[in-house]
Amino acid sequence: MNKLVVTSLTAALLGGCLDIDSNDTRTAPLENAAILTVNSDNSSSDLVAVGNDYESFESLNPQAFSDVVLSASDNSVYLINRFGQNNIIKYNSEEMGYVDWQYSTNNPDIANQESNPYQIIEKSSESAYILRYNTGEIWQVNPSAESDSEFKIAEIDLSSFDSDGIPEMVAATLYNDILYIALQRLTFYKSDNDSFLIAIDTSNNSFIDLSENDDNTTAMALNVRNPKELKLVDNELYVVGVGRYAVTDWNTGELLEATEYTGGIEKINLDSLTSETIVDDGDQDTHPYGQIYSVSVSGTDLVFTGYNAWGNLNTYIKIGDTSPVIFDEDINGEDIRFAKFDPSGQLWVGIADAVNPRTLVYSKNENNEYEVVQTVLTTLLPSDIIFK
Amino acid sequence: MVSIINILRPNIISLIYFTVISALCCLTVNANETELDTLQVYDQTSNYDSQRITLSSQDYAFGDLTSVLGRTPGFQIQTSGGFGAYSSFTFRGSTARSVAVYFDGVKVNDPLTGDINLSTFPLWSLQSVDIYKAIVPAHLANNSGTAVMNLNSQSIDDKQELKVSGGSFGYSTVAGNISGSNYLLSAEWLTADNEFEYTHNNQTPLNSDDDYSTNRLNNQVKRNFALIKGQEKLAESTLNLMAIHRQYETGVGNNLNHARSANLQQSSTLISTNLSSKHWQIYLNGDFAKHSYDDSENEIGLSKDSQDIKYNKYEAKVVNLIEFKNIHSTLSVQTHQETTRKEDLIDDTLSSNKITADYFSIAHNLSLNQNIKFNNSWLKRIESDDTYQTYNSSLGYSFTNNSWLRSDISISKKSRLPTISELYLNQGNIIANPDLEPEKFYEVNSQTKFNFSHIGGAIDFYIRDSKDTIIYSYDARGVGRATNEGKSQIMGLETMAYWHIGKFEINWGLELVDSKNISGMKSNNDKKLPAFFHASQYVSLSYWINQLSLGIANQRQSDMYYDTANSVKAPDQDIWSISANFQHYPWQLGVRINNIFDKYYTGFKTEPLPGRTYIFTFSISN
Repeated sequence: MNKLVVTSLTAALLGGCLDIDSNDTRTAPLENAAILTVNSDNSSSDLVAVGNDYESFESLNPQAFSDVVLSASDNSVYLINRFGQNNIIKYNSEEMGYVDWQYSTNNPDIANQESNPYQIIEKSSESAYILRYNTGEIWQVNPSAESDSEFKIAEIDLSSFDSDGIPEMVAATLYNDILYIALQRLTFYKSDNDSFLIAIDTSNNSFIDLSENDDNTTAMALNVRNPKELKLVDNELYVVGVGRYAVTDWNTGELLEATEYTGGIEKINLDSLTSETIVDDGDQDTHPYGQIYSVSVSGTDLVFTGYNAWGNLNTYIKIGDTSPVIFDEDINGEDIRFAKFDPSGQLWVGIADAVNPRTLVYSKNENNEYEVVQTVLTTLLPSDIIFK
Repeated sequence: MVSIINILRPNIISLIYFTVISALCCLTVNANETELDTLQVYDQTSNYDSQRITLSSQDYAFGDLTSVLGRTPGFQIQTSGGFGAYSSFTFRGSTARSVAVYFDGVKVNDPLTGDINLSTFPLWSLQSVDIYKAIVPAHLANNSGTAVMNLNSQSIDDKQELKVSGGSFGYSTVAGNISGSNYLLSAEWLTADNEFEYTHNNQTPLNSDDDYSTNRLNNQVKRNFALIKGQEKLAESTLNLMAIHRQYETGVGNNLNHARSANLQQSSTLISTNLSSKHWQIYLNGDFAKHSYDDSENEIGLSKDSQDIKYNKYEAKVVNLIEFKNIHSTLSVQTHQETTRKEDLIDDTLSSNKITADYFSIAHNLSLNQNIKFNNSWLKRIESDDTYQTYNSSLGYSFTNNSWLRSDISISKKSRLPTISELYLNQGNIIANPDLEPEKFYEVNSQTKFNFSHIGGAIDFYIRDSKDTIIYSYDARGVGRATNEGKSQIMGLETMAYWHIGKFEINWGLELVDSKNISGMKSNNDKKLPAFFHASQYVSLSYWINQLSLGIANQRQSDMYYDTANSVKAPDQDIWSISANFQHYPWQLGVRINNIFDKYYTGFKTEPLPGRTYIFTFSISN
């Protein structure tokens, strides 16, 4: 009897401690938006589909790393695994979670390469461009390739745009079949040089001169330094510059060089190549928005975020030519990862609150004021977003 | 159910388990003093519910500290892969920095990070390993965290031994012990290139078409170790002197995207003086160590050319032992100073940080009738601007009904001070947090040890609540910061057993853990703790034919998540090994093949581990 009892107890204990594996692949269509979520300790990330009713479908692509962003085109969603992973995953937007392909962005002829892909910009179903942040070459690839040998079509050398050969290509957009690329041009991770905008004619991968008055370069020097992202609205390109981060002692954290507020938001007319700084981040004494981190535009409304301190960002709105004001006092000082307008003009704000990670969806009410109309709940922290 | 079947396979394992349990419940056996050549021996005499792992001839022939701990329930090894490779461990789900590791009573954890590289201690120079999972002896109570491990060096007992080994991946080692009546000299030299073959997934795990076979590079290891011990009787006292020099060098890989020249060098010279009498022990210790990373090619992605960490430690400890009727008291008063200097050469700029910390601790064990035990300890650490102190306390009771069965139960409150690294040192994109509080652990431990003539073992059951656990969080900019926001509950069962049946000898260990993250973070709440296997089993079978022993062993580990959100599960591991050992006094000749089915696994995350490996060994002793 004793043996029976012990055996039963043992079996029960064993059963209670062990899980049953499940290897089911989850898929969901891109109906409304897709959010890239990350864990607060950066130990994992996931792809989450947001349905038409703002419900979230999680576990579409759980991975044990977090330096991941999203890119989208008409029919595809790309998941870009950056530093340490160096690959891109393509999904059909009707079936996110089911992998069309995954290809490396490293050059197989270079040992130990960390290409660090930042963005893929699709021109057509047979041609796309990959920004490889840690290298001097941008790749033209075939998004319909059926093997890695068919993937890479060509590479364009951008190394001449930075004395160290790596111009830190950070963001790009297509306008009239011209690829506009923002180059940070960092030196030892510091933004001490002017950042550039360059243009490539995608019909022949040749450079277009954006600086006709300067025979030494085809690049256009930006008003803002350390660009982080681009937003194209009609023929106007909005460039967000973070400026130069503070430099601290590697060991002690002692401040060696203060933050330089050389960033802001610059608007460039791509037809006339005229440029203006529409939001200045200030100077050493006055910097009301902190370091500007992101921008999104819908009609006359421009929303941007500013980084104040660790885990502390504010969101601002600038309507027309007015001065920027706080967008919503209720979310001030949160760890805001994105504030982006969808095509219908709703603003999605991702709040990386580890206790209650959420994406707030704002819409204008009858008084023309933004108010929260939906909250998308996720398990991990919202980190990046794309829309259908 | 599938998992249960998997973990119990092969069937003989479950049969053994039920037999052992049944024996405990149903049998009344008179133990005798038959001495057996078991792989594990359980210390029945300790005042603490400790486990003593006495190293066997098989361990000396083929093993290292990682293989011994790796089969010990509660411990799991995290290795970069290969012979002598940099290896640390987890204990009951906590990292090595939560376990104080001592060498003959001198603490040897890295003072900066609290971590330890097990591969800097060759097994050859050790005699046994004591593990204190519950109540900690006063003379070892120093910011113990969850447990204490003491590596006991070879004893002085008039012997001469020499071992020569060779094996896969350029592995070779020469080791020797020479001991007289009052001295011991132990030394070992090891080298391995560890260039084993593995399948590289080209960093595209979802695309197997671009996988290719390659060799692990820059994974070489060189180790030199020398231990000198002396002993002199002085009237009623004994004077013990010990000096250890460790030198360790390894290439530092960059996981799958291997680096070519980055390397780590560790060296340490430890000097210990101990004067012992019946009632007093006085220790004076010094440790002078240096760790150097060279990454001049910027291969390991930390944007630094080199990093040197030097530390000096001076320690004084007085232990008083009193025995009055049935009361045993041990009082330990200790002070030590650690000076750490860290220098980084980054992009031609030198950055350095020197931190001096003074420690004071008092610990006391009280035992009444050998049954009731109290442990209290207080530790204070003073740095330039900050002071930290912790109190640890335990209460235990022993049930000793007869010579073959003993049970201990205890409740404890333990704590771990934040490390210097967590408090003060920025590392890459991680910023230090000087406001961290000590981690706290509340434990219930029970242990039953049994020892019959042909069967013996131990069963541990524990429950632990961890609070203020130090974890890292990252913000929008990708900058990490340590906080005390971790909180968890863990419950576990650990069993170890040996069984002799005629010419057969079976050793078996099982660890089952149920853990739960109870922090307020939504992603992690109610999830299992990551980075260790929740089910682990080791079984070995040896068969003796006169002087020849043949062995087969299997280790299965399952149910581990890579991440705190439990999004990604690690593959289960199932490794078999076989060995043959021929002993003909005074010499011994053996061969062992590890991972005979040539299975490829990864280490903690993506470090490739070797497939099939072999070791030949020859030793001679008087």
